[in-house]
Amino acid sequence: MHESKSSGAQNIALALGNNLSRRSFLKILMMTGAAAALPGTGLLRSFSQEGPVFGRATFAGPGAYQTFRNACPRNCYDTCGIVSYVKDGVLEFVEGEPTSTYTNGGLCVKGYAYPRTVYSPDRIKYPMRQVGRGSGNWERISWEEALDAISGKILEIKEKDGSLLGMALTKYSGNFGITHYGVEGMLSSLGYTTRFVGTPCWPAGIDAQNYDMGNMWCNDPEDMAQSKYIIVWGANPAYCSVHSLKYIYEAKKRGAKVVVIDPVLTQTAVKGDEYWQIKPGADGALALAMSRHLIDQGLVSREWVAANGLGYDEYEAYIKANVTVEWGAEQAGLPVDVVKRVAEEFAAADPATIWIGYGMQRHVNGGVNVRAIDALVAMTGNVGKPGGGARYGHLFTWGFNYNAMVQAAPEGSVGYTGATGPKGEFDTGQGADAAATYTDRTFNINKIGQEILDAQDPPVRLLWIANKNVVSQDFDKNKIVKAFEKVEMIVAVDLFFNPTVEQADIVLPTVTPFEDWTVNVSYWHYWLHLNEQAIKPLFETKSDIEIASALSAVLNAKQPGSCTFPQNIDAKEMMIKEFNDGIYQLFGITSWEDLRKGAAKAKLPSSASWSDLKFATPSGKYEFKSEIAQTNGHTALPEYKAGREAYAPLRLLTPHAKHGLHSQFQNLDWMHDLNPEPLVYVHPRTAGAKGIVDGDTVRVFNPTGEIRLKAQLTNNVPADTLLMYEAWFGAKNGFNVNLLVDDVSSDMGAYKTGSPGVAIHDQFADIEKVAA
Amino acid sequence: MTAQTPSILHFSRFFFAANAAELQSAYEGLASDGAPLPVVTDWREVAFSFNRLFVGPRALQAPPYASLYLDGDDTRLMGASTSRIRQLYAMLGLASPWQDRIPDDHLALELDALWQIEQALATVASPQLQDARDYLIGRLRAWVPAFVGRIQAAPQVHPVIVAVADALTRALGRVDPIAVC
Repeated sequence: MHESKSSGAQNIALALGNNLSRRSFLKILMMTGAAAALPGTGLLRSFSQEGPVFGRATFAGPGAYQTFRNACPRNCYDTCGIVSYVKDGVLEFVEGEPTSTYTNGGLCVKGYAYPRTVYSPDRIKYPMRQVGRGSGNWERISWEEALDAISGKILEIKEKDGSLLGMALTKYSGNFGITHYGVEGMLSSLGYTTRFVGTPCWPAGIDAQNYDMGNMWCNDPEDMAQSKYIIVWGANPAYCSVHSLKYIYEAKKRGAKVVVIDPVLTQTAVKGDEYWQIKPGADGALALAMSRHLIDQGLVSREWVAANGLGYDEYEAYIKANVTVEWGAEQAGLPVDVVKRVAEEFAAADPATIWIGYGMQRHVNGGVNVRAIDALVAMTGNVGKPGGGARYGHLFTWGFNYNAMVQAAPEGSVGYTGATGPKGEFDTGQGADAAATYTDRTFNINKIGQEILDAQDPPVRLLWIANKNVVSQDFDKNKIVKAFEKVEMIVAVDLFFNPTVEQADIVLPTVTPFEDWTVNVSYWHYWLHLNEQAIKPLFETKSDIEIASALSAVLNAKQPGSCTFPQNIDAKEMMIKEFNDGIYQLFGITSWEDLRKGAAKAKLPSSASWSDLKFATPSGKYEFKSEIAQTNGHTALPEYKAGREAYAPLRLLTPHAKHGLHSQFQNLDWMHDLNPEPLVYVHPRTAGAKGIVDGDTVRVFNPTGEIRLKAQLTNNVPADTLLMYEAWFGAKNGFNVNLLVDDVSSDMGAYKTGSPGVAIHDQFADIEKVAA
Repeated sequence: MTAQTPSILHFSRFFFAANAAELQSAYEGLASDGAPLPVVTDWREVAFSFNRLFVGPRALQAPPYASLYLDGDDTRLMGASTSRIRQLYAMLGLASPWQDRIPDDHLALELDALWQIEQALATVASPQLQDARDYLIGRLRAWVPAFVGRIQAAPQVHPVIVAVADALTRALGRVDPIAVC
């Protein structure tokens, strides 16, 4: 022990960690009157003054851990169950939940790093106020001071505008725990406000599957093991869903063929039997070409489309009149014979499945491309079959009460009177009051900069940001920062000081999953995980609903009746209130407490979605032709739609990283060890033409902005493409891919999520060498 | 010795201050002990620098937690060193009211323990307390210099905080470990 030298100090060092020595030491202090001589009233207090629990008299020995059940809520396919090991009130390490066959006892590299999040010295610890936005001059304030300032602003806005539409919320997926919908609940409990609605993630594909099948609903990923043929199309589970890989491996072991289609040679691609480097955005053309070949070869499942399809004949007629295999293969940049062969193999395998990734729908034609792939799966009779399916995602297990979310507006609240749609993909319509005269005002979540710049009557005066690092993750960073100048007060609730907090007036410190009570489900697998409070919240951190509750108390003290959010809540009770009989029945449990023993899986009639082949479309059939799509301004059939025209020489892709999930995790020390700095990946031929060698500092630029970083040469990306993984690297690094990504919309998303998605992968840029 | 005893208390309260007023109060305590400290004109500026160094919300320039200096590469809060100092407090019959929320190895808490031991030793002769004092001083000397080094190297650091940190280094240097009788 390098801290101590003298023999007296060594006595102490030896006694530390030994319960017996420690107790006898204290006993001697007490007997000799030395203990009584200690003031005991400084920052540290004597046990006797504070009651028996205080001070914890014993220390757990090695291996003496308490365990808790937690869940990773960070917007991931895998939404893992976690077992947390706590000793003396400290989270020492985490393991994967062993009772879930999906998590299967293991976590990903990010999950294992969770204690580094909890105990990072850089966590936001106290409510703080910035004196001069962006100045870096912060003063620590109490929760009372913070809530006084915020509530004062809320009442001022109501007074000035006659409504609260000047208060806006942008919130997304930083924590998908069900009680975190209490953020939306907090806004509802204040009155009618402005909501940034939609999702940056997957909206085009959600709409596509709704047009085709009436809902987004995927097979259980665990049944991929039964597939005879798997096409992973635009997904990279080796980075983003590691727990799904074991089912793909199992299928391979049983003889299945795995084809990976991706513009980038990903770690998933190299694990497939076959890899196709498709041109980005040509997915629809390729699916149409494969469909044409099936038609030509008589490989369409005539029985299936006749019994279960609507408008198939028209779709076939469209293809015959407009699509050739040669055309589609050329669009996709693939050899004709290979396209034909895989189409034949896919049709012959039973069951065969396609995993439709979220990346491939982040295009101006992304939604219609998903529809064409859905149709390919349907034409081969693979929809509704275990081991088959057009797998995209599901919300089948999300039927909670949304008790924290559903809050009534205070009496007499005035709001918006125009037309409105769903507020995001999780909007179940619960709590909507048909008789209400007013609603919230809705803005496109994916165009936050433009919406704030354009907002009038009233403008956005107060912006509440939770579960979202807007300035890192939303599109066109420079525009967002400019728009924020218009906002009178910005409140950010976060774990770390990120570029969003940098632009805030007040920051409120929030909790990690381990300091919180909630419940989690996935949009991919079918497991349900309890999230227990394993440790006390560090410093003065509070959960979203605790913040809402505290704000409600302050507002009601200032102006009784001004906020309906329950005051003095208990976080655990709020978690319990999210459960209902439907959830209990679906998961075969009698109480939420059953989940303390382990995870529960939904009792599914079949591992296949749509196994009864009764679709949720207006016709009850699989709709190759969708009238709703047509009404919403799309083609009724999944017809070819061209991609976005290039506006710079090279395509820019900014997909998900291995060591981070959006702006989370990559800022941690362990991730820095593995992945110390952002890179732009460039094909050697492209680099050669520009005089760039490996490790050079380069400037990547387009009309939206520019980034300077190091280049890495690789054959894994096409020659006409630049690749940078999105991430926030922490306070010392200004890297942000959204300096280059504009906010142009994808084709679909507004129908089911309230706003269209963003054409994240329809971006272009140029590159040049600069001095390091 | 007695002239220094209140200083440890004021150092503790300085590093535990929540706002400019508390900083000023602790600072005035230090100055009244005779510490040669500069005159402060704007306490708000001191608080901005104090928060950049020790509080946040930005990544801390000089985190005031022993585990970040004593636990090698394991740079996290609530590390092995935190557990050891909590056990020392327990041996003394003391505990932090912020246990599990503010790490027990916050500089202010360690200094508070030292202050309490010295208060007791002024009235009772206890070899056990002297051992504890030796241990604590040895421990503080093992990490405070690195901590002070980070303060001195921090960009935009307010000179008043550097002066207090230097005074703390001197105070810890002057406190002679007492041999066990």
